[in-house]
Amino acid sequence: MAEGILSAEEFARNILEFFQVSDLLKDGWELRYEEKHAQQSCPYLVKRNVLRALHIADVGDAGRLDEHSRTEGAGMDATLRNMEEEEGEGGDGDEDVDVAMPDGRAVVAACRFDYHIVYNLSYSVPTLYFSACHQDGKILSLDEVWQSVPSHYQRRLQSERWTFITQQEHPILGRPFYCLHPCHTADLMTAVLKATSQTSTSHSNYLVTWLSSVGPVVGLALPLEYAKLCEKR
Amino acid sequence: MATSGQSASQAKQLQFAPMNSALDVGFWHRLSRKKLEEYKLDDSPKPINGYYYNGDPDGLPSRTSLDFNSFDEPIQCPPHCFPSHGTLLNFNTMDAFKSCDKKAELEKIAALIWTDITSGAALKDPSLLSRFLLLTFADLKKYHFVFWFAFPALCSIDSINVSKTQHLNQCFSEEQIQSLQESYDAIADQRKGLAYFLVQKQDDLLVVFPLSDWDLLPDKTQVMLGFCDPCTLDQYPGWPLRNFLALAAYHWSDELQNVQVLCLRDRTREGVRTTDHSLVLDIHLPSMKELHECPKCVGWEKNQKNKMAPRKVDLSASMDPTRLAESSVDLNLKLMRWRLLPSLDLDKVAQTKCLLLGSGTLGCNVARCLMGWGVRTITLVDNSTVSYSNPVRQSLFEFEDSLEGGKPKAQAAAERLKKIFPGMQATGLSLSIPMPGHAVGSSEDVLKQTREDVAKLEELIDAHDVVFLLMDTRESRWLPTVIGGSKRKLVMNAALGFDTYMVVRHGMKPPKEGAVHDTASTSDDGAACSSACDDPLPLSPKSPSFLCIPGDKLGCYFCNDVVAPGDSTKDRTLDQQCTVSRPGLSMVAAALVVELLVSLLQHPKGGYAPADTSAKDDHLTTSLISPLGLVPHQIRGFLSRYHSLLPSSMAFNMCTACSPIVLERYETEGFEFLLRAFNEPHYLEDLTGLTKLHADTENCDVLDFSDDESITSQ
Ligand SMILES: [Zn+2]
Repeated sequence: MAEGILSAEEFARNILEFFQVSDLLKDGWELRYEEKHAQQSCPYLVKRNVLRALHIADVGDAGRLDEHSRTEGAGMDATLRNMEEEEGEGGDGDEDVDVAMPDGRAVVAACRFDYHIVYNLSYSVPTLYFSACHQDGKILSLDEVWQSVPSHYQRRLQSERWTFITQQEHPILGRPFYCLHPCHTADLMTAVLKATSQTSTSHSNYLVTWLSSVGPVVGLALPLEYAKLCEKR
Repeated sequence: MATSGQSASQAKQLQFAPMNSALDVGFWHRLSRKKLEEYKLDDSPKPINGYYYNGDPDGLPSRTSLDFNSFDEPIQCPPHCFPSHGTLLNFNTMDAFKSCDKKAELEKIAALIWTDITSGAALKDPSLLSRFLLLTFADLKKYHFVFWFAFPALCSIDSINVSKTQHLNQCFSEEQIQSLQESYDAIADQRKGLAYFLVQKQDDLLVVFPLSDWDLLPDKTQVMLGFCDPCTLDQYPGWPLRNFLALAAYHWSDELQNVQVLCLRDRTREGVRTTDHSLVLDIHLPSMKELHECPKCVGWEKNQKNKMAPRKVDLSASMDPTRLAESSVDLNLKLMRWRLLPSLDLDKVAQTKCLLLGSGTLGCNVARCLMGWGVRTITLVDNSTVSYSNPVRQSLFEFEDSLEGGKPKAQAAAERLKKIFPGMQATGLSLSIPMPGHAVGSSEDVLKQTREDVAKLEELIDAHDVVFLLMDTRESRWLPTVIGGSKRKLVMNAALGFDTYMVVRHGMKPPKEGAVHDTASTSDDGAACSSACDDPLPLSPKSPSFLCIPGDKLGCYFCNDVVAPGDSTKDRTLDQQCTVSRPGLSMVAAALVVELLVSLLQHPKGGYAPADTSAKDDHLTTSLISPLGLVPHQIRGFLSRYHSLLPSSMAFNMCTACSPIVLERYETEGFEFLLRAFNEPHYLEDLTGLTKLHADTENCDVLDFSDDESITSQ
């Protein structure tokens, strides 16, 4: 087997081990199976609803709404403004006063990230797909996703080819997702495994090594507990 | 018990952090599909579901999340999340959305909750306490969605007061907290998503019980109410507590007038679990035992402007197939840049406006290749219609296009480009290009038409950055060569013989005085090519030069006419005039002319880039200035030998299309000059001193023959 890649069987074993650790840690990974190939169903991992508070320049919801009002004008927006005026004051007048967000907190956009780890047959490596959207379901633009990359990874994003983010259809769900393109994963893993003087076969959990190295770029950090899976057997 | 810094001596009214909605784009995808394939015009209530979580980091709002799985039965919550039962009302029109009786709809849900409380159903399945209502209107043409959530909460008949608010670790020891976690886990594992529960101290440890165990518990006044709290605020409990308190006030108010409430917040960070930050509230709970009708209900979500009104979201960027096609086309090109050529300036290519004169095999293939490079603005010009023989070779046409006399080629090609990729700004125009030696005649109408045609062509060339000469006659290339040269546009030329082709970029004359040019300066041509070559020798224009020539000294198609390659084609000249070329030839030449343009656009000097040649195999060793490689003046190919050459030649100072005298006359006399060129057979030859041009040309084989079987009117 070529360097830095992983067979589908090894991938399946890796993610089962991974899932067991996750279950203990209660960190929210789900194990799913692709349904269409009943005889050879390939498992994949999903972590839904990871909320990240992002300081994205000017993504105020109100701002976006206004923008639409200008461009779309007419019907729907007029009706919406109309409803605001009619019902805006009404409230419910309830004595159970809602708690407003406490003072002094900057308005941050809470964005939802979902992560999917899927095996890529043509590259023989795992691939990280993710979706990222605002609270109303509008997806983050590629630029916003780039801005969401923690500052200490920004340079890496520029310089390292294996961390670049692109948009692709999810191979199982068929909807557009962002992904860390798999074309350089094998190079990355060859380098990483060499550095730790292991090979992909003797290495006990390829998935953890890979994910802990690329995940943080898109806000996915792995607790140290997973590292136990990588200790040499 | 630990003392608390937060404890207040006098009681205040208990306040709750409101629930927020959080939607994943997958939810909208699924709703759109449901609406199109299943609901259609059915706007009756539909069961959906959401979930919330009690482990978020500080500062995040409590929220009920909906995603792609929200329509699935049974509910598929992510691990450690708690289900919420939703009712979806998807309206068919914005008016229906607006005029729906929202108060009544909310009351319906409130009644469900109240019935579940009073019947005891919620004691067996406490998740029934968490419900929501979602009103939507989906505009699936624009991918705009209007929505409004309500998280119904039953109000207490009297205010609920809180006398003390503490953290869990202020009330209980580490050991007790540990016992609480273990006991909770044991029960929660049996019942997926245990959101509401009872806690009692037994043997000084905290033990968790399901609500249905109430009757079994010994000293009921010592029971704590526990719920999983999605709120992260330090002083307030989250919304799910409200209906739980309604349940407790109805069933257990005798025993629990003063009760402790555990707001369980269960967070794992860096692999370490903690519940210490959970809140413990000491509250006074007014009884609802005697209440026989459903209490008042609140819970509409405010919009972004903090008003009681719906929200709107525009998802065209992620759902509109046209927009998706655009972004994936962009990404595909960016991928090429990121992976291979970091210095590639794709925007420059994308923004280049291309005018394609001729919409035959060359025009179609050039357009396709430009589209592949991300060029978005393409204008096609032709004056013929699609004939039966065209579609097999002309890659933008189909059989249908040739029916009923055939569609106009340029328009049909432009339409097809937009069908292939809706992001294209493609236009097709029928236009006859006047030709020298083809007398216009003196009729007023014809003259007027010719004048308009010339004006239109000038306007088109003005509005574009690049002019492609892809016509099937040599003469029709003359006028755009003159205009393009005068306007300092990039002029790209491709011409086909039977099995030979020629691709040439016209030399770009030095910028006009006072003209501001966006390309790198070329004023001193020596410098322009000094880095790459020695002084060009003054060469006879009749012999091809294999020395490096700066861009502004390069010849045009008509200069090159007289230095046509080899003599192997001479004998075939007559055949070629009425026959086709080898079918692959147009694809090869079209691809090369586009690739040459893109290489040129990436060259720092653009159209002024000195020409690379294949003389002495220079093309194999010379250092590349454009990131894409060589920028030759010409590519001449011989398909029979699968061979190509990269010659370059100087502008010919007697050229009928680009010599100084021609450009000067065009610029000063305009249409009057052109008219003489069209009408008077020897005018250009006389003007340039090349009286024998046509005779020479006929002997010298030309590479521009119809790639169409029929000879068109030219
Ligand atoms: Zn010329």
